Order: sequence, then structure tokens, then C-alpha cells
Amino acid sequence: MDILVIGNGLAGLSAAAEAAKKGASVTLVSQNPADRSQSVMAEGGINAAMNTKGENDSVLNHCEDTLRSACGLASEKAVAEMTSAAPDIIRYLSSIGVVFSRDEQGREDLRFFGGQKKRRTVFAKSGIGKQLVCGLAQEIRRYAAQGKIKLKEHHHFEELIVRDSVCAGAVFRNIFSGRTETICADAVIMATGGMNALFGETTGSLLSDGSATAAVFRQGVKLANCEMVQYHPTTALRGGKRILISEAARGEGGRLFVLRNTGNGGSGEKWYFMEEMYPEGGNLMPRDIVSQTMEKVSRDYGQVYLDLTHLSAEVLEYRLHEVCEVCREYLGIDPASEYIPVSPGVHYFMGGLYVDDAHRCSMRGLYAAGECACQYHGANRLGGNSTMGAVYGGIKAAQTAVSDCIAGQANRVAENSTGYMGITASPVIKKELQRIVGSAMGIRRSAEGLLAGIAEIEKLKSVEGAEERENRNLLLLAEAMLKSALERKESRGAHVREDFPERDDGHFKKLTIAACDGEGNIEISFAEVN
Amino acid sequence: MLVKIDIKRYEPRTGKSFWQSFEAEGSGNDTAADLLRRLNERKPLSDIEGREAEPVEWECGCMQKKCGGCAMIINGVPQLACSAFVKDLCRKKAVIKLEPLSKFPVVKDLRVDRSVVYENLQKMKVWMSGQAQYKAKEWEAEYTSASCLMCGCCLEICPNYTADNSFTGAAVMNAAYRVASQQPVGKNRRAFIKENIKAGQGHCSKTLTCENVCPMKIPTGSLMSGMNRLFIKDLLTGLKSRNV
Repeated sequence: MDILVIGNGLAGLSAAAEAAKKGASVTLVSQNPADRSQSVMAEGGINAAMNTKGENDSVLNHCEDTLRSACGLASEKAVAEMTSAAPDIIRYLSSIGVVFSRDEQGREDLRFFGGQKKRRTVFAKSGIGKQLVCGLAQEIRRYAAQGKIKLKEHHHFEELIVRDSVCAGAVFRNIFSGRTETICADAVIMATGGMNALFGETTGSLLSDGSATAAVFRQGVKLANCEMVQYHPTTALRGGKRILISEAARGEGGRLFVLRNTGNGGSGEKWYFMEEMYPEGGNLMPRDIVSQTMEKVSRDYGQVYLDLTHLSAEVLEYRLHEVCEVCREYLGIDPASEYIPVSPGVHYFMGGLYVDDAHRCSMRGLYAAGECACQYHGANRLGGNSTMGAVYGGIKAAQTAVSDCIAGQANRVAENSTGYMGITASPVIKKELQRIVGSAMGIRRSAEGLLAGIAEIEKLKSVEGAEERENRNLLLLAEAMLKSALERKESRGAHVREDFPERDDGHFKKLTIAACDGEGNIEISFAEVN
Repeated sequence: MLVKIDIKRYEPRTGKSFWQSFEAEGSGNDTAADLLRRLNERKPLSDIEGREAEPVEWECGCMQKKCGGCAMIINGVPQLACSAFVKDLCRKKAVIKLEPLSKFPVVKDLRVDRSVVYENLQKMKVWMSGQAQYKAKEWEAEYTSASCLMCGCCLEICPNYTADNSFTGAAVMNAAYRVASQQPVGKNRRAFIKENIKAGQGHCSKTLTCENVCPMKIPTGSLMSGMNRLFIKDLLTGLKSRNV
């Protein structure tokens, strides 16, 4: 059977490796070599209940913490499966050569992370993503040498091939030559990352722009929970993008504060507000709570700072190596002696392509894993769960795709096409769209702001350049996101509505489903959590 | 300050290279990548003489020295555009000169095809053929080796590397060290190290200019000696076991 995997971040790499292991003939198509994928930007770690710190950690604890943080929107079955597979995945990754930080006994070391009381985050200084990608990409090369995986780099996904409502392959643009190329397959696994182009100023890669999600949404593939956008508490704006200060900084003891009582010329006192307001979790509360609290506190007290000055040189230079490098190089701040000004910034998309517990999309023959899919994180993701969710999700998607193929669930259609495609979409439209989405989809939302945003998107559709393929799709995706946020008339996890401040389980402990008909009309509905 | 940006462009349809200059307002803390991004956001984009220009083709992803995409020659030195700051580039003159890496085929403007690096990793079989072993002593070097961005700056500056000789260059040598170090001791490891020394260290004249330009400061020289050490160690172990 032929399996087409699109994207070579963690989810795509692990999906390709697993499908190859299962005997499929795999084509792995990507825009770039894996070293350029957004996954290399992951810093803090990867969660697995290794329980090597004598803290009685367990798979059940990991599962419960993940579900609690997801605020009722994650599938209990899917999360239970991911968390129970996690320790073995870490052992597998070690065996293929991923370099994790180690404890004195030579075991994978663990650190504290947000939303979990026990040390559960396996790490590699503060550069987990690069280490994971390096190991997995190496493994992919081994399969490629055996002829089990065919690698096609510098290809940009354009659209799916759909025959009789079944996904039968995809069309790509060769970035080097501009030529379009068609690849047919029995099953297609999307691992194409988040929707960064809708916001512009995010911590993610410019290449994970959401254009693939937007294109398949137009083709009728459903989305789920796309209003659930994670604002990471500690980011800094620079050069039209956000720089992430990893949660590892707080995991290792970093503290958030604002200055209060600064009147009468005084320099003020430090108020470690998270520790006072949330004594049980302090600076390591789940990200939604930290970001929302920071936003609230900064309205009265101004700039929030991250204090790492009390940490030992060993912790700073070794365990937080990359964090310190980024602060010095890009922010001109030495964390050993200076406080880091931070603010919440768009970091992760919990929602995306709708998938069931086995990673099947709403279209037959299509599967999705990693950040482009809605799985595992519900309304709020725990730090360290994205990397595990991507690796495990890739494996699970590949297993499902292979077994569906064997069961004859997927169909193959032969298709060929040639032609050339234009490369760049008008930057003016994209910029304006980012302004609209950024303003309507902030940490706090309201019907008024969302309706205004939807109206502005409608207006933007008639501006010159909006008809270009990529822009047209992104406008549609943005509209789906804003409409999803508008219809969820409650506050839950990362979705905070000023006009509906309470959580409403009766109506909204459900997935927000966005569907697009053939005419580009969007319909929002709610479905039970699997 | 007003910065003049000279870009060596390449148009694949005509096969012609040409220089084109632009102007952009930049602060000391801007990077060359920031300026390029801003240029491409202009519509229409015009050059310094007011002529309309096509957007500049270049590769970028993370914008913070993690993905290696934006490597190019900046003011004569191979480096990442996202960590080349205006305050350093424009110390003497407010001019930034951008050229594509010269040791790889140019696709368009500043975008090059670095596939050869991956072909060499493939050729040299840089992957685990057994279960990776952990050795505390080698850990730091292995971590550093895995942080290689595969950006190609090391190959650009190398006096020995060219696209058509069989030298694999620093990027592959660094990765090979890590695999050799993690590989279980045995015939496979010995053969792997031997092949990689032949195609790597064998061609290297040890100028170590690669270390000077590496964005991740990878100590290639020391990783190479590390691999040579493993080779000798394996050789002695092999001899010893034969004597027994």
C-alpha cells in the first residue's frame, strides 16, 4: 500500500517511520529538510510518566493532568492511549539516538513543567525539538536507504485529490521549479503544523502557515476547536515575530512578577502575583491561567517580568542553555543579572483538522497528526505534551491508515497533472488579515469584536489580491476561526469571552465543528467529545 | 538608519545573475532577515532607482537561529541572516551585501539547493545500526553535534569542500561522530568509522574555519579527534580480542 505523509516535523517523521515499519511504501513530502521544520523550535521537553524521581508518578496522573488542562474537550480514550504509550516512546527515541539530558544514574532526566505537580518532562537542556528531529530524521534516512520511504523535499502542498468523496493523493508545487506534481496514494496523512499565518506575530515558524489546513478546509474537510489558540505566557516581541522564553525557565524555578507601589518616585516592590494568587501551582499553573492572569495584572501594574536571577549558574548555563542564548542575542538581556520583560503571545493551535480517536479526518482516506490536528489538547495544552502528542499522533495515524488500507477502507485513483503555479500571494492581504484576526482573537474575545472581525474579513475579500488562491483559502480559514469563537458562547481554557465569562458544560462541553460547503459557506455546529 | 541593501539576484528563467540595490530603514537591533522580510512586504517593491522589482526569493523559517534556513553570504561572510545584526554589519558603512551560498546550486536569488548535504549523510550511512549507547563522557559532544542546523556555512567557508569532490565536509563529519559515539562497539561501528574518516578527516586540511562561522559554535576539530580516538580504541580492542 502507498501512504503519502505531508510534512516532516515530529508528527510527519514519526508517521513515516511507523508506516514504513508496518510495511507500507511511504512517500514523505515536505517544503524543506526536517531540520527546518517548526518542531526544531520546541524547547522545554516531552512528557512521559517515567517515574524515576521517587514521586509516584504514573500514566494515570499524566492522563488526568492532560484531561484537566484540556477542560473537558479532549477525548479520554485518546489521551489515555497517548499517555500510556509515552514512556515506551521515550525509550524508543533514546534507542535511535535522541540525546536527552540524563540524571546521575544515566536515565532520561525529568523536570517540572506547567500544570503537573510531578517531574514528568523529559528534556535536552532547553532544545528538545532539535534533538528529537535530529534522531527521527536520522531514522528516516535509514528507512529511505532501504527503499521503504521516498523523500520529496522542497514541495509545497496545494490541494488534495478527491474522488467520490475519498482522498486519493495530493497536488504539490515544486518550490524549485514551480511545476505542479501529483502524488497518488491509498492514504494521506497530513502533518502540516499550525496556522501561524493568521496571526503573523507568533512564536512558530513562518513556514507553518496553515495554508494546507486552509486548502483542505475549502475542499470540505472539517475543522474542530479552531478557536482554541494558546497564548504562551512568556514571549517577547521582536522583529514582527514572537520569541519564546521556554516554560522550562519557570520549570527550573523562574518567577513572574510586576512592580507595585511605584508611586511617589519609589522604585516599587516586586509582586510575585502567580505565587500569591495560585499557591498550589504558582508560576507553573497551566498556560491558559498564567496568560490570562498576566493580562489582567498588567492592566493595573504594567510590564510583567520573568525573574531568573536567583537561579544558579549551572541551571542557567546548562539546563536553560538555549533560553539564555536567545535572551542575550535577541533581547540584549542577561538572565543571570537582569529581569526579562515578557508578555503572552500566540504559540500553539489546539484545534485544527477534526480527527477521531484514531486520527481519521472527516474525509475517507485522510488522516492528520501533530499541530494541524485537533487531538489531545482540548481547550488548553500542557507544555511538553505537544512534542509527545506529535510523535505519538504520527504513530497512531500511520497505524490507522495502514489498517484501514488493509481493510479496503481507502481507495486508489490514478491521476496525473502538469502545469505551473504562481508562488507568492499578495503580502498586503495577509498583513491586513493578521491585523484583523489578532485583534478579534486576543486573549479576551467578545461578540462585538468577533462580529467586527468577520465583517472586516468579508470586506477584505473584495480587495485586489484576495482572489489569489492562498489568500482566498486563508481568508476562509480565518472566517471559520472567528465564527467558531463567536458560536462558543462561554469561557473555557484558552477561549475567554468577556460577554460569557462562565464555563457552560451543559451547552459547550463539545467540539466546535466548522464545515465548508462547495460554495465557500461556513457552518458551525457542536459535536460530542469522542 | 537608512541601510543600502545590495542583493545578488539570480533569475532561473533567463539563467542570469545581476546585482540590485534597495533601501530600508533599519535599527541596530534589526537583522538582515528582518530587513529582507520587510522588503518583501512592500507592494510594489521598487529598487533604489525606483524600478519595480520582484520580491526577493530566500529561505526563512524560525527567524531565531534554530532552523538554519536563511544561511547566505552577508558582507562576504557565510552566516544566518536571522542572527546578522545591522549594528554589527554596518559598523563602517550602512551597506549590507547579500549573496547566495556559492557552493550549492542557486535556485533563485538567495535560495540555494542544499540537497547534497543530505545525499552525503545518506551516502555515509549516518544512522544507528544498533541500539544507541549512553556514555556520560561523550554526552556534551553528542548534544552539540545534534544541534547542527545543516545550514551549510561550514561548507561555504571550507577551503577543501567543493560540490564535486568526495569530501563530505564538516556537517556530515559532525553527525558521523555522534553516530559513531552512540553505536555499539563491534564490526559495524569499525566499518562506519573507517568509511567516515576516509571521506571526512581524510580530505580536511584542519584550517577549522568552519568553527569560526558555525552559528552553533560546533567544535568540529574536537569532534573529529573524538572519532579518531574511537577508531584507535576499536582497533586496539579488536587486536586484543584476536590475541586472546
